[in-house]
Amino acid sequence: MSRRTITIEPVTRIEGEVKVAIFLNERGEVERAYYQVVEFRGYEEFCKNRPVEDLPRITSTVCGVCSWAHHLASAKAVDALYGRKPTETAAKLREFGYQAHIIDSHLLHFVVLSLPDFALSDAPPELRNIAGLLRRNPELVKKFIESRKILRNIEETFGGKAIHPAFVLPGGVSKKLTRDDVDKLSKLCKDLLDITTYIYEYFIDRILKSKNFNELLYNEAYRLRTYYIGLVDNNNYLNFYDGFVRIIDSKGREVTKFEADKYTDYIAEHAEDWSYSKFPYLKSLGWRGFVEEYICRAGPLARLNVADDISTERAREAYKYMVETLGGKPIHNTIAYHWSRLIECIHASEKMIEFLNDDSILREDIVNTSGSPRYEGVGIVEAPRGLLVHHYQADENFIAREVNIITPTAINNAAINAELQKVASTLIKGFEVPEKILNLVETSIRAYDPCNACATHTLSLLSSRGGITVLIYDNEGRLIEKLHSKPPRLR
Amino acid sequence: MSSNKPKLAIVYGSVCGGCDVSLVNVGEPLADLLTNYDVIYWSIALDGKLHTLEKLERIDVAIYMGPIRTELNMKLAKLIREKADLVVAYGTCAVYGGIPGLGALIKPSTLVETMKSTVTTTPGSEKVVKSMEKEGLKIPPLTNQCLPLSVVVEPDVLVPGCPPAVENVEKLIDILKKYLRGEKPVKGLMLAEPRSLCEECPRRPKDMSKLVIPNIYRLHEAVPKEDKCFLEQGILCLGPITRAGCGHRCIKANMPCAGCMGPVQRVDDVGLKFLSSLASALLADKEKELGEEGLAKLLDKIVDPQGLFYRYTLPTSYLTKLVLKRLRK
Ligand code: SF4
Ligand code: SF4
Ligand code: SF4
Repeated sequence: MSRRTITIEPVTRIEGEVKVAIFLNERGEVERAYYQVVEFRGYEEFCKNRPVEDLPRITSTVCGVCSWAHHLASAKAVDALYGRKPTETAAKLREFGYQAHIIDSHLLHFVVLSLPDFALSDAPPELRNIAGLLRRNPELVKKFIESRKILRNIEETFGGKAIHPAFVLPGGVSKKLTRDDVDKLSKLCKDLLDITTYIYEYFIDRILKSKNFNELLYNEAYRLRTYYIGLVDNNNYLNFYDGFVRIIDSKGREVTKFEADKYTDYIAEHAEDWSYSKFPYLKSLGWRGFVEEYICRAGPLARLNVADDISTERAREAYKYMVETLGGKPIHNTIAYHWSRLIECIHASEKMIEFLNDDSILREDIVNTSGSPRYEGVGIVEAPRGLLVHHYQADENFIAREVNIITPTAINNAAINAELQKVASTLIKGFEVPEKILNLVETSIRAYDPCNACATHTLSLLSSRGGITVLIYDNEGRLIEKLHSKPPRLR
Repeated sequence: MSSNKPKLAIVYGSVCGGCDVSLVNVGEPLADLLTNYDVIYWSIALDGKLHTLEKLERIDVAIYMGPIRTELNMKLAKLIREKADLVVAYGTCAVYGGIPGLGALIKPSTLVETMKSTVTTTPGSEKVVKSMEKEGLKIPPLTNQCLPLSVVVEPDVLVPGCPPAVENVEKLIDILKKYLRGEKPVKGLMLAEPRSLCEECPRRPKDMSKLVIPNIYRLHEAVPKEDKCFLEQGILCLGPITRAGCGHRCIKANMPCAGCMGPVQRVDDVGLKFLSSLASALLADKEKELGEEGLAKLLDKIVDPQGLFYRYTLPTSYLTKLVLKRLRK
């Protein structure tokens, strides 16, 4: 037999366009496997020369499954740039609305994108999806559908639009919360906590105990001993909206903890010519390729690894249970990303109820209009998929001159590739590869909930006569790579 | 699944995913759709692969989301037009180009500037990929322009909105239900109102033609009041030139309309139209004091006309068409 290439195109039940290429040698063993982002967006370039106060609404469309994360990271960068610290009320309202978004993204991922792999592992591919779930477990899908309406309603109360919200102003938010809003939200948030608890319990009773989930959860191939990065609050507790960036090593030791505007001291990005997404890495370690020990992961599991604890009751208990079950922190089992997501959903639901009991959210001081501009600002939040950085520089007229965005999916890009290599080499033996095996390869990718619209916001475009050229520069502005493509004929 | 249900494919351009979520968000009606159609391709939710799509001879309904940015996007756009009886352009990106369409007119000179700046990127170290691997590792090249589906092929139904509002998604699902009974919508059906957003806006002043705009303020210069027309507050709102049908959601959140539903009917160039009405509203009552120079100074406060007027529609704008025409000569 000669060598062979297996491609999975597209990788399904993830967000965005991705392809997997696996190269087999003459003996049918995996030589090298690649996870390739084949979608291109180009945001950093065309966000330039725009008024910075418009960027939260423009950059939210980097990604529609985490539009709130971009909206808020952008808002924080803009606040810092204008030198306007949001009022306490505004910060609370942002954080409140954002909890709903975390749940929105997590539940969508768990039920529609991932659950079919575990609850329907025996089903043929054409039934391994939400339609198949609807047949097998209508109650769960009903709850999920109910949650969509609730979440949409909550998100619209804050942001007007549930997806791509219009909610923030420099130094605050655009709209006060009214007593009526609070009354409406009380019911919605209570129902939501019931649903997130239901889905969590379903997971614990039905999925966690199932044989096929366990096989993956404890499978050595689906385990990476990496660094972790995530936000923590003043007490080192889990926080999605604000705090310090904490990095721990694979043994759980704190490597560093820093404030948002220092991120360039710690994070750099590497580019490859076979993907439209870059590969961020820890500066202190340097880029060492797809080698586990030097990789850093972000996202729900990373957050629960870097945090010391969770502030709300039910979520704290669930957290303790996971850590105990998996033998202490840091947890390296990639499949536990799913578990972490559901714990975070409970935390976010509880947190919303806390906000509702805090009368200060009704205050009218929702914008701070004073402060001295710094013309540069960094905003960091925990997006559902992990640490998200927006960094802007503006001229004296507050027109954006530099825009840098680092997304969590890009941060996880190296880990996804490293794990893909491990999983593919373990599972693929020989040239005949059944669909089931390929789906198990995809299952490893899905755990990260990669969002590839996010991952590919970047790089510069140069249109020339012959087509389009992608230019990749190093940090000194030296051109290091030039990719060229011929244009298609336009009608 | 061998079934005689009509086949539905949901296909992407360079999507952000928001359109997908908006479709999932309608809830029960979508569940209905999933049972009445044989959904053969929808990569966020199902496991159908590209080769399945390519093998099919006929698709009944195809929904396209996102703009066309790579050759793979282009290939899929053409493939669905060839095979599908009913093609739906879903979301502003597919209808007008959307925000990624802002990349439509990026000039080389601007990019030279970029060259000296940007990001945290460092040189690659794994560039030596074996030649055989290279073959399997090709990524689809970028298209010359960022284009909406509607420019490349002719869609049967267009659903603007970034993403489409739930009311309009429900309308689309109704159309797809009727299609099951053999009813086909009129070609080029646009699921939006022909009138402007102002006409359904609760903040609409009594007489729009007598609108007076005091000055022009950016969002860091004025805190918007919750009950007054944005234009009357001097905050630029695209309501007058934007199609209604979104439920004025941004206005409800006390933010001005950014125009995501696309331009109202029968306006060639929204920017020009808006500017001319803006000019007269700014001049109202004080034409003499201001004079031409004063007006020009005021209009200078529109710091990013391209991003304001064409934020969602640049690739289909009059402006872009002109530039492209010149480039092609
Ligand atoms: S129309 Fe808006 S929501 Fe839809 S893909 Fe484009 S940017 Fe995303
Ligand atoms: S300009 Fe904006 S705020 Fe004023 S009426 Fe029109 S849509 Fe409403
Ligand atoms: S108000 Fe304007 S920007 Fe907002 S959803 Fe409606 S059309 Fe889109």
